[in-house]
Amino acid sequence: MAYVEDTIAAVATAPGPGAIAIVRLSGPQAFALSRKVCIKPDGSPVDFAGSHRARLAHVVDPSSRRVIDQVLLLPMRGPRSYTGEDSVELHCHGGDLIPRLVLGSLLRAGARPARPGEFTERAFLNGKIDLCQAEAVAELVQASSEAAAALARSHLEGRLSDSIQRVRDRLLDARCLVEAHLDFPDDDIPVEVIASMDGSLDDARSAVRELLSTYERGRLVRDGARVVLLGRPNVGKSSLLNSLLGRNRALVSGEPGTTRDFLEESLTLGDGLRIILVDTAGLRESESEIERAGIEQTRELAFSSDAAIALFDGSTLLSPEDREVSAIARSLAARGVPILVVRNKADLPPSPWVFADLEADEGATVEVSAKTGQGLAELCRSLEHALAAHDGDSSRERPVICLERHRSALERAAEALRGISSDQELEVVAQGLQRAAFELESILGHATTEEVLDRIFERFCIGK
Amino acid sequence: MFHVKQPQVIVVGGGHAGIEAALAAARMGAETLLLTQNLDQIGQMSCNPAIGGVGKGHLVKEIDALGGEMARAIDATGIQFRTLNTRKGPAVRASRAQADKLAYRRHMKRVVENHAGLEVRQASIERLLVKNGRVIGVESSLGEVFEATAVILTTGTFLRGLIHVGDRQFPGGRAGDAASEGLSPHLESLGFRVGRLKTGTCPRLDARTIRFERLEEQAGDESPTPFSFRNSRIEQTQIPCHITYTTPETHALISANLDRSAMFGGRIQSRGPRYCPSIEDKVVRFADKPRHQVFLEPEGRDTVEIYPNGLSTSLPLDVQVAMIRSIPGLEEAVIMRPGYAIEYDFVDPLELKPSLETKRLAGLFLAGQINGTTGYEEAAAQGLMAGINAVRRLREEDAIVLARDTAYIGVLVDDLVTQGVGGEPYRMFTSRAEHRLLLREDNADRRLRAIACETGLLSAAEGKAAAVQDAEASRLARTLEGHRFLPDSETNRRLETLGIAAIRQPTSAADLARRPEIGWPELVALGIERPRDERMGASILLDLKYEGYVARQEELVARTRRLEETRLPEDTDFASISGLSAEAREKLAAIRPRTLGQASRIPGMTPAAISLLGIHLRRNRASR
Repeated sequence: MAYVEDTIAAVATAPGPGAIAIVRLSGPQAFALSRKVCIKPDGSPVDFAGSHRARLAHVVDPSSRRVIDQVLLLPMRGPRSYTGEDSVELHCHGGDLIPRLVLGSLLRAGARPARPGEFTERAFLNGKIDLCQAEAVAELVQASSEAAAALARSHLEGRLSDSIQRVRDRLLDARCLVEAHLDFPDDDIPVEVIASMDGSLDDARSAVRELLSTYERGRLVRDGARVVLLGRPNVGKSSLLNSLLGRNRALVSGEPGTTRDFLEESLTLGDGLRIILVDTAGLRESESEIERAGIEQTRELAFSSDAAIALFDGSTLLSPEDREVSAIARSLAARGVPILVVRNKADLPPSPWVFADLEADEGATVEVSAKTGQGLAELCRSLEHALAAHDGDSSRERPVICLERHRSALERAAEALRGISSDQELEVVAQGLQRAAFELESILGHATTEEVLDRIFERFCIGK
Repeated sequence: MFHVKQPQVIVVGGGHAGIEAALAAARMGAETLLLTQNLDQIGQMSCNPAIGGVGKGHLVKEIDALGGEMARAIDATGIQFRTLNTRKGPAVRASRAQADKLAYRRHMKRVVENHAGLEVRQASIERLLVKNGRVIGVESSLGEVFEATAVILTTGTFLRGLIHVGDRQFPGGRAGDAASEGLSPHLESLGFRVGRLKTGTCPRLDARTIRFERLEEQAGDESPTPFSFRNSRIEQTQIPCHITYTTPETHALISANLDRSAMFGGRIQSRGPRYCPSIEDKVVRFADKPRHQVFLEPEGRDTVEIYPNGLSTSLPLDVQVAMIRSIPGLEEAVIMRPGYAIEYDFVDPLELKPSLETKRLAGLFLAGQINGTTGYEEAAAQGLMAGINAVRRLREEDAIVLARDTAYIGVLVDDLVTQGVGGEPYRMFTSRAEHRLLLREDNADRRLRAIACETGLLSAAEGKAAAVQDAEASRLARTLEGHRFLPDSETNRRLETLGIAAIRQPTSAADLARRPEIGWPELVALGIERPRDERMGASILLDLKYEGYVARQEELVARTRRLEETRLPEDTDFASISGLSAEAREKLAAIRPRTLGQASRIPGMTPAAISLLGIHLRRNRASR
């Protein structure tokens, strides 16, 4: 038969040194299990009268009754807990050993070790958090950068849920007006309220548009930005990559064409954004079939990246190969991929090459020396700037979407909202509103007709 | 004892549900006995003198398509007919008519008394006769025993009915009629969950004391449309209604006397319907509204009684008098019958199967207000279905359960048996129907006729007439799809003279008809044969015009339907599903939904709970 209703336990705080660690217990036996392993400091049994009130206790080994640690015991009676079940937190001393011993006691007393994410799964299944928030927990656990973690955290706090909920509420309001007019034609529902619907609709449309416009930014934050390094062979791409990473990862050699495969390295910029730097096969006219293939791949890769660094040697004259790099850079820029023109080898005496055409098209030029590290900080800042400019607004205040599931639901909602016009029959308008709301609800996960009726009766005096 | 023949079906109650139940059973050929407390009150309208309205009119059309009587009765006895929502779309256009109460009752009494195979007797039923978990008959207050294979209870507001006027209370099923005291305790003793609801009605006024000349007149439609698909026109002349409004003085009077109202003085605990609020309720909840509408509706041609729709109240009589007189036009109005609130018992409809048979007692069916609904139309719809399914049960045939995309009746029954009534009497609204664009009044006959013919609800002549109409409908649809216009200059010149945009490629008449500006006059001008049946022609045209929107609606419904099609095994042990709240588990165990969709419509079921049920199902399937 399905799964047994059991009580789960896990150390909730990060492993490693720390003054305090928290061991968490959730499930129907949470109180009973804690009673088996906790006693009052005077040796009498602990009581759980009163939820959400901390009390001092000793954790003992359930068989030897040896005291393991002095803890602060915090019982939370369901549904007023994170999981919605009876839960207990044991605040014990930190470090590697004590939390493990405390958890061990609980497990010996009958708790089951929680699977990763299981507390959240229970919170979702008990209706404590919505689907969007549950996804955020998964995102948080998998976050690969500080910025991605911050985004997931804001989703978990319900920032995105709230704003979607707000739009959905406006649509429900609008639908309530329409339904009232349809179902109660003899009741004197003021006509002005139908006019006020247009305002609600416009607000909803722009709110959905705004959320959609954050997707690019959100995706960059979540997945990291792919930045492709372009440059002819031996221009110093691998050296630049290495000095950006601060370690020797790529194969560096004076022989052209030694970097055949793509190297991907990730680094974090100052604002917490993760960058995946892709070093490409050096661009060069070559008879070698393999290298030809590599060059083709470079072009494709470059077109699908979030930004590109076009690297040139500032100490020599531009070669035909450099011209080719600049041609690729220009075509990328034409497609809206931000380009940074970087002149490497700034430590050497500058060559008097004229680069006006490229600079004029692509703007920012940064001078760096992969060898001495000169200009690297400025390069990072320029990169941050270029990526932030991607969606025109990097404000941290408004909610940002980053999942394809959310984007496509919002797209469908936007499409439904665009389809509504004031010359349609009201029941067709109602249908458009219903579709749009349904899409938004699919992000959070809920929908009922009763809710619409409730609103109608709250607002209008119905019944002659 | 005098018996022509032992009945197969007994119907208890002669109201709107009872009439349709008894007629449906008899029409299907079952020996039927209708028992009612008072033979003079068959088809009585206890509250407002009107049939239809938005959602309700839809129900009446469906009842008619299924061979029911309600539409024909109102067509014969209506005194004012109006189509509502004419300026909105066709899906929500609805019929409503003022009835001549006495004539309506006489019509119904005549029909039930003269129907072959249907016997009508006066008796007050106090108990059910039960044997081996199934009902075998009923027993009256006089000790008379009636045996039958199926029993349909349609007791309206009569179960332990308690009437309130101010602080006075007295038992009654309706003012002037005795309550049924014995039956609901008996049902409780059989294990049924019995609850209590409240409703109310207006005082009735003497038309001779009303100054109509000062009031706004509301006339009926110039060419009234009949409810019944079997009638082609309304012959009788129409009578106007009038509209007046409450005043600040009315509101002040009510506010000052709230504590004397039965509802507000705390003497009634049960909840009334929000869509039929008492005037006290309206004044309190919408304090900033300066006035409320009052429709003055005649109760019939041969009576001076006027129903002031909008003034339902449980205030004491002296306040009712003062309140009435504070309203323009009613300054000298005389109250002929006081308004009152009534509390009554109902049986939790979650006790029912979708056939309206109780889960607890085989052979027992419930229909109408006993199931927690309100409205004559809702009652009649349930009565009809209970009658049909009682007969099918005794013939061991599958129950007829109308789908939510087939009929409002399907929505009504599904809502009742899966959601219950949620604390207030249940009324139909079009917003309850997710397939609203499909469920129009004008296509009710096409939606339901096959079922009516299959179950034997239509007479041979009616069946033949229906077949002719259906043939005409398919012929029209074929003609429109088949007739093609070529984009030549001749065609486009004709289109231009009709003010229709030119075509650039071969276009069917159906495609042209999908354009909003094109109707039958245009199509006829373009050489399409005029439909023989005008009503059917209009209905077919609406199908075309709505097609695109219906497709979108169905797409949306299909996305939610996955739930609908996921069946929960009958032996699902809801108690063993962890993670569900105790409340959710209790509700699931009580209702025993058959699909995830039904489960999702149970109030209080969170999407998470539904996901959990889904997970549980998958795990179970895997382990089997």
